[in-house]
Amino acid sequence: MGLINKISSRYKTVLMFLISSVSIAVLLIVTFYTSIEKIIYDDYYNTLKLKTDILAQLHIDELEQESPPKKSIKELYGPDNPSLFNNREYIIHITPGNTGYLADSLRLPHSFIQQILASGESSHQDDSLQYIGMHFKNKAYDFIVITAAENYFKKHVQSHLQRILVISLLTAVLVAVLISYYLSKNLFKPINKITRKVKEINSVNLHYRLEEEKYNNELNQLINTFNEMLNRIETSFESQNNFISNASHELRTPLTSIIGAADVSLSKPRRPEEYVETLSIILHEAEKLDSKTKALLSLAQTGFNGKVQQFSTVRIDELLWDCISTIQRLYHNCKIQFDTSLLPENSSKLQVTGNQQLLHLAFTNIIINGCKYSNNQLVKVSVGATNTQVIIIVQDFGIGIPDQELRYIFDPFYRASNTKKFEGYGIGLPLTRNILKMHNGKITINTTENKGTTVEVHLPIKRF
Amino acid sequence: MAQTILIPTDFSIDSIQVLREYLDRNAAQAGLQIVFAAGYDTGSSITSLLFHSRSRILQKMNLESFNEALHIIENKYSNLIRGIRIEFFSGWNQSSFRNFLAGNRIDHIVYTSDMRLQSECSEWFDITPFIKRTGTAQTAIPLHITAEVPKAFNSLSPLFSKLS
Repeated sequence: MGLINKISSRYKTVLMFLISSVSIAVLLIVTFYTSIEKIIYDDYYNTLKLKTDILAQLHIDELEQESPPKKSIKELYGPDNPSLFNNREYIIHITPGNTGYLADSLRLPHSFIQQILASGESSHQDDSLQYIGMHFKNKAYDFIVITAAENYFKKHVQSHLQRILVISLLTAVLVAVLISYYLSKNLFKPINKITRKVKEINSVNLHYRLEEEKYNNELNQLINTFNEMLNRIETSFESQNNFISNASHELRTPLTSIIGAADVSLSKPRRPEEYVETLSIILHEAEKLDSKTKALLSLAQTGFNGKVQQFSTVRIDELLWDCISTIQRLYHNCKIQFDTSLLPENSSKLQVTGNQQLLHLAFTNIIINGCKYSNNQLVKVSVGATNTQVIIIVQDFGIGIPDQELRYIFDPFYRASNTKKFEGYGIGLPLTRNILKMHNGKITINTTENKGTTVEVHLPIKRF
Repeated sequence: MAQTILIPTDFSIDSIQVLREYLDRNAAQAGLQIVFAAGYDTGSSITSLLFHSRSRILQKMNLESFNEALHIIENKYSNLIRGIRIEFFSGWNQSSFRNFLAGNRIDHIVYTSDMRLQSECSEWFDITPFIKRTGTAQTAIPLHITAEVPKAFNSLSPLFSKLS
């Protein structure tokens, strides 16, 4: 086994092909040979037996002198029969005690004669001849008939057939070797090509894609898989780059205003009121910076942390009421309608295992987004429950998200092109997604630009 | 006496609104058995008859969000509804539809004329024409579907789009 694992899969395939084709050829040839031998031998044996029988009948007829011997039958099955070579026939009347002498005179083994006498019929094979003996006994007669003939197959066909089969076996092996040589040259060529091409791709030229092969489905699958993987890698590289540039931009903006304000106020001595104004600007900007870094921190914590969150049973409708009242306290202009018309009658179907604070944060984010990007038009929050999931739907009639930007909205710091006049850092949605992911939930967004957005959240309900 | 109600469907969320609307109007009735029925052309070939499989048809119709919506409705109106099931009608004429109604013990048919049923599945067909010609008691429910809200095929949002 060690050796087989060591050789490359190219030679392994070739070897497998060679072994299987040669063994199939051998199997076929052996089967063919044995069955032909059997058929011919059976045929020959039956002819011999028939001849024995006829001879006996003729002899019985002669003995009883009922009808003269039929020449035609004798000719047909007699010494000139074309399928029996080197014919011999013996008709021997049995007298007690002559069996031993009989066997010696015919140079046949005693057991053969004994067998004929005992069971009425027997056969014997010596170097070149096949013997068949039959015993006929009546009140009037008691004799055995022994016929012998040379096995035509053995003598003429067998060696010829063997020669042909050996030659064809050798030819088959030769052909198999040639094909497997060709295979070894060509089968793995495209794979080697793919390997070479993939090696060429690195972080600089991630936009390279593998070309599809003609007429090769399996390889095209491999190539497509590679290309899809490259797409994903490219996207994640891009979003990482985006993240870095967006993050540094977001963090720099308040810093620039702080530095600018400080710089201006330090350029010459100023009145205390002016210092107060500058300091309040600086404080405001620093607070912004603080909230941005806090948001980043919570994103990082929810995204990939090893900490185990405190999970408890949360009732989604209560949580949503809580979220809505919090939002309405903070943003007085927000119009939120909580649609309870599809609440299940059994409240246990609204219970979710989760972290109250995080879920609160997630839903607050979604609802605030709805308010913000619809200029405080009505936002509808609805809840329903299937037997396994709670479904929360937040609908707004705001600016929506452009179609081609929909796939980026979960990237940190990404902001859609139509959100320029709204404040925000682009952390809310990625944070929400991370939180829902932690709760084995799912978030889908359906949107039409300038019509509105529907956010659909599925959370698995608590199992009892 | 508990009634069995048939609602023609194209497996869109909108057709569930018919049920919801009906339940809102008839809150007094309890123990309703709901049958959502759709036409399904099995074709006339013997192989399709031989390999007829209800589960495969259901799979083909892509009923994931429809089933979710059904569960939501079932949970909401659990004191009114005894059970909801989906049946396929594969006949071609009025008398086989009559048999279909009798076989499912349908007492009442609820449908809407405000919405045209349609499905992407080529074997699906609308059974509303049969309903209109049958003698079984029926109610037409007016539906005011607002098309303002963006919706996708697999979205449950139409179910929630009713503003109360």
